[in-house]
Amino acid sequence: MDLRPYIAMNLYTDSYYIQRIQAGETDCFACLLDKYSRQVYSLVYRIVENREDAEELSQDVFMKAFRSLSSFKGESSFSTWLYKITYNTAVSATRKKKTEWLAIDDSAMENVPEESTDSFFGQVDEKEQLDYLNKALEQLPPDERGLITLFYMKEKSVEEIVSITGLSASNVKTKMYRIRKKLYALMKAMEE
Amino acid sequence: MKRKEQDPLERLFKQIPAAPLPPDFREVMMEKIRREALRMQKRKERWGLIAVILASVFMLTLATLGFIYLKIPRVEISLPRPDLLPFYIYIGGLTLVLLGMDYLLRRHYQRKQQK
Repeated sequence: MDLRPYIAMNLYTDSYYIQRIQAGETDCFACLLDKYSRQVYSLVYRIVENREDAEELSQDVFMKAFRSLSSFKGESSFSTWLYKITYNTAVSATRKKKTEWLAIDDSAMENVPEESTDSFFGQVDEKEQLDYLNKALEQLPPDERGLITLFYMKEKSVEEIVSITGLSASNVKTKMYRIRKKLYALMKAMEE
Repeated sequence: MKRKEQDPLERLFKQIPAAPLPPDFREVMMEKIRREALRMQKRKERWGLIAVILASVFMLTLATLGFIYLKIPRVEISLPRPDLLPFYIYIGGLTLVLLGMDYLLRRHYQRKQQK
């Protein structure tokens, strides 16, 4: 396997490539594409849950990023800025589709104490847990799927999620708490 | 919000495989980016040309108004005698013919050079 593209794309910072792109060297965008295309696609796919839509929306994300590159002032990291475009593009696309999501009764969530979630994970086979998790994620609204993916799969901090989503820190923490409870409730219901 | 070291959800999420990127994504994307860059460049040039034209028209208008109403600069223009009009037409026509012949001869020479 030729590792030279991967080595090359990590030799320089994002700012270096951005400056060169802004100076007219369009081909330098390929380096940013190589570095972030998988991450963008996986987040979009997790939110929209459709391969064709994810591919189209990922292309939209990079087009928006390229067009707006002159307005990127470096106040946040390039990856946070790109994730912001990704999250907003994917969530807006799902709003246009207006798919109905499972409404989970708040009392059902409150009735899931921490101890039973620990026992759930202790008793159920890991492969099954993964299967339940994937099914539970499908039942969440897209914005919540995006949030939980950013936190767990992309390992973004609360501060980064605040920059990406535009929500306040307390709102993010509350939503994360509720999403976790929802997931536990859904997975528990599947097991039963 | 602290990440629990033993968070079962975190452990599970780490096991979810990332969705594979379409194989031709990079090529398709870079082609679109190059076209967009070209489009943006042309749009920039178009706006630049419009700005230059508008600035030129503005300056010409100012100069004309200044010349007519403010008499800046003070220039006496004398109109030519009407009986000399055929002579001026002859000189103007001769100039145009010579310019045309110059253009044709240069084009003929360049084509010969290219062969």
